Amino acid sequence: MHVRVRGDRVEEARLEIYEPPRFFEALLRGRAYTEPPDITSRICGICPVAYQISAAQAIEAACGVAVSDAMRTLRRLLYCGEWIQSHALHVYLLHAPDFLGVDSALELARTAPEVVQRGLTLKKAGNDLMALIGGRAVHPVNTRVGGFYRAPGRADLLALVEPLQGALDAAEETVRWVGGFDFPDFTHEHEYVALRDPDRYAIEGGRLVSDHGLDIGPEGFEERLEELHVEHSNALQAVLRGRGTFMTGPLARYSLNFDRLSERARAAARAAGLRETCRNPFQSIVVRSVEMLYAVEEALRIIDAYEPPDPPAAEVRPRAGRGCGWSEAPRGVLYHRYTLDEDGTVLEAVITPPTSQNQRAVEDDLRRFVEGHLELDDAALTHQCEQAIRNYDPCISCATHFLTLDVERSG
Amino acid sequence: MSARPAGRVVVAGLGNVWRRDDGVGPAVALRVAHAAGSGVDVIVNAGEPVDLLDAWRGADLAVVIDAMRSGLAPGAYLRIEGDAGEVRAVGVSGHVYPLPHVVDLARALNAMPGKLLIFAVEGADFTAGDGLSPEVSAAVEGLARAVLEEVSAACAP
Repeated sequence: MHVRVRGDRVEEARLEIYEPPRFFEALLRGRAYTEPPDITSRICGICPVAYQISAAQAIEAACGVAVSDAMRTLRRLLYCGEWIQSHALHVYLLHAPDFLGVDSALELARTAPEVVQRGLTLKKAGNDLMALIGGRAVHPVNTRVGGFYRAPGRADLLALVEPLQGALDAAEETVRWVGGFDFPDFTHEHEYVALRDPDRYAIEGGRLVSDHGLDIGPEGFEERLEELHVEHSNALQAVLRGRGTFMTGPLARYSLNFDRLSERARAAARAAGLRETCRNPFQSIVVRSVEMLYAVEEALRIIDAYEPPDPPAAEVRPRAGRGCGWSEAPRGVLYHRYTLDEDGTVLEAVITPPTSQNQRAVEDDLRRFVEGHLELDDAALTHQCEQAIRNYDPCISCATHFLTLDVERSG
Repeated sequence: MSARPAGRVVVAGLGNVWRRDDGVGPAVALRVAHAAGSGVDVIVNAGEPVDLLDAWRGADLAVVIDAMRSGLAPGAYLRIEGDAGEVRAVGVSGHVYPLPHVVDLARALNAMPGKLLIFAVEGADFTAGDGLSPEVSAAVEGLARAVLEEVSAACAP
């Protein structure tokens, strides 16, 4: 991260990401329409389900197939597993140590083993859901275009009820725990963008809405949003055309969908000091915990009413077409678009992950955050910036263990 | 090694089979699974070593096979008893907790198995792709035998 300071003003803050591009969009060209869910799930080890479901939905749209409600519900259940494990990882292993003045989850485990054990219990509940439905906890192998290779039986899922009930208590305790942390007085005014479902908290689909009036289906995504190359980073950045910086992810999702949370999750949020809208990125740890509670509840609700989709996958015949799909990855909206030829060969692929969508907002927040903390020396400022970056995304959170802060002070 | 009462035994091979010699742990674990029969829980962990905490919970013996890069000859291995202190992680992956950190975490959480043995195997090639290097591949049989001897000793009455 490069910061240029003149006097008491931060003139520029750049998050310089030199990780080489991986060219997934290019390597998908020429592959069969059945392959993108498995190939793109390899983009991320923490949110492979998001890639699988966004990709499958985009290809189903291109082929003119709408899956059944039962299929959508099973996908939602798998996705709950991913939300639980990703949020548990982020909250307990990556983010909470900052607020408690310890360097790592390991140090936290030495002073408060019961707390870390609670986090691992939650993470295991999510992993177990993913392993049962997806075939394994990391990069599931049971998903496909149209649905699943095999749908779990009702008895299989009922075996998860008891551990999920334990996870429910752990998740509620997590919201109480993180609600007691001290949060820096810092807010932003970015346009919030998230999916919104008419009936429930958006996870596997919905319309894309914002607090500035955006309301579109997946086909409108590229018309309204533009990905840009910037000179200082290999990571693409995204802006809303004509409007600029925006933010997706837990804060946006929560603030645009508070009324879609369960009563229990809303009550836990209020008791932890959140209002219906949250604009302090440091409180994202509370929002993630609320979403984790909701995801555990939702998993239990789905299992209670579960009947296996039969057949386990809708038939999807290839045809020439273009289809878009999206879903709410734990860190925000993940969009896929594919163009197929008549035998289902991928002619073009576009993938817009939430990390790139948020890049500008993160840089803007960091610029303002640094400006408010210029009295610190570079070492202390680096530490605080690492904490600030961990507000946004587990991938960037990991990466910031290696953050190099380059401060250029003058005047 | 002294005989231990029959008890639950877990053998875990850690590593990513798509990063060549990083796959030595899974390769050895699969040999052990084939030879050890149903009395031993054999796990291949390609994702998150922290899951070992649950895998070895309540086990009398856990044997973990993982790749390392320490400067030894490729295919050579260390047998580390109980304590991962002799092998330090040289970096923290963005995606996983390395094994020494998992052992430290298990100690802090009082979640260690009755006995922990680590076979740390020197790799030569950690680039993308499947298949072990010739040196590491040649070591797999011997490693599997060494692990099975530990398992037999633990299971002896």
